[in-house]
Amino acid sequence: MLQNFSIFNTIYNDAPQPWQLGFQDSAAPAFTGIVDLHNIIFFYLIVICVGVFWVLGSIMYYFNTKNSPIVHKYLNHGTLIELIWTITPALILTVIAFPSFRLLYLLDEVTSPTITIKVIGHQWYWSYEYSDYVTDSGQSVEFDSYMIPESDLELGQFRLLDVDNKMIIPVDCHIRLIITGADVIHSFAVPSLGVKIDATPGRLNQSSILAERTGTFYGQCSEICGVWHGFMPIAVEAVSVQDYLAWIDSV
Amino acid sequence: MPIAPITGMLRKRLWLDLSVGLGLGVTAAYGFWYGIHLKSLQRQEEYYLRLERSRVQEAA
Repeated sequence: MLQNFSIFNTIYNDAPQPWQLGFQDSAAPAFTGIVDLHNIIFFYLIVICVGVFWVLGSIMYYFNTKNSPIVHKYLNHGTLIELIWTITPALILTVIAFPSFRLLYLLDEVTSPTITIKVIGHQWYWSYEYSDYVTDSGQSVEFDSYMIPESDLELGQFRLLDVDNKMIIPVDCHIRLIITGADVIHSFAVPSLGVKIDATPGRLNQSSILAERTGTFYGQCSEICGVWHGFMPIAVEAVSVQDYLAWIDSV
Repeated sequence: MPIAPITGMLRKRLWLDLSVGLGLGVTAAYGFWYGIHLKSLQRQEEYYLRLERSRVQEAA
């Protein structure tokens, strides 16, 4: 129970936990990169926070009205110190910006995808189209994915997260996602895979994922889209290539 | 009795406070880096290594 309240706890799962403050475990290079960048910036954050709060505490302790009863009524500004506290944060922001932009552009790259999956957000469910394959009737493989209502949950399934039809992907394969919305703006977000992209009606957004391990990764619609916005979860199941081929053959 | 001019009070402590504050900050930051960040990276690497080994074993 206590581990849920720790900021630095290690979460051994691919779904959010109650009171979780840390990241979920990474399952993709994109998310590993995001966590790395977060931790690099967090390093600077600790230095700045401790430094600022130490100086603030010291000033409050040594220069309060009891210890220093004279008011410096003519001390309005100090050009030098103002220059220092303006330029220093600007330099720190510049230092932070470089790895941030590097990661941003790396995430934008779509590396020769093995398959393409079209993800469509609806009020209030997701549908997936595997356009690389056709069924016996010549249609592309497509299905809807609805949340499993609480009354139908089976033991081990997650409330508000599990769906009737998961999006199945092969592990260790670059996958291109084409994302759009059918009615209003939704957002396709799966933390463990490091993907979060708007599903905008009339527009095709592109992203890429690569699952490094098998497992089921959960996400949720992340753009408020109406009354049941909180009830259209995303479940992505990464399976071995053999299992994926068997699944696609059975659809 | 005239009050002596009060000057340099902040400056007297400023360098000490900045040094102590930034020193503590850098220490805490390195504590986070080595104690949490690198450990979690190592845990992840070890997991993938185990995964790869079991894959190789299965294939053999």
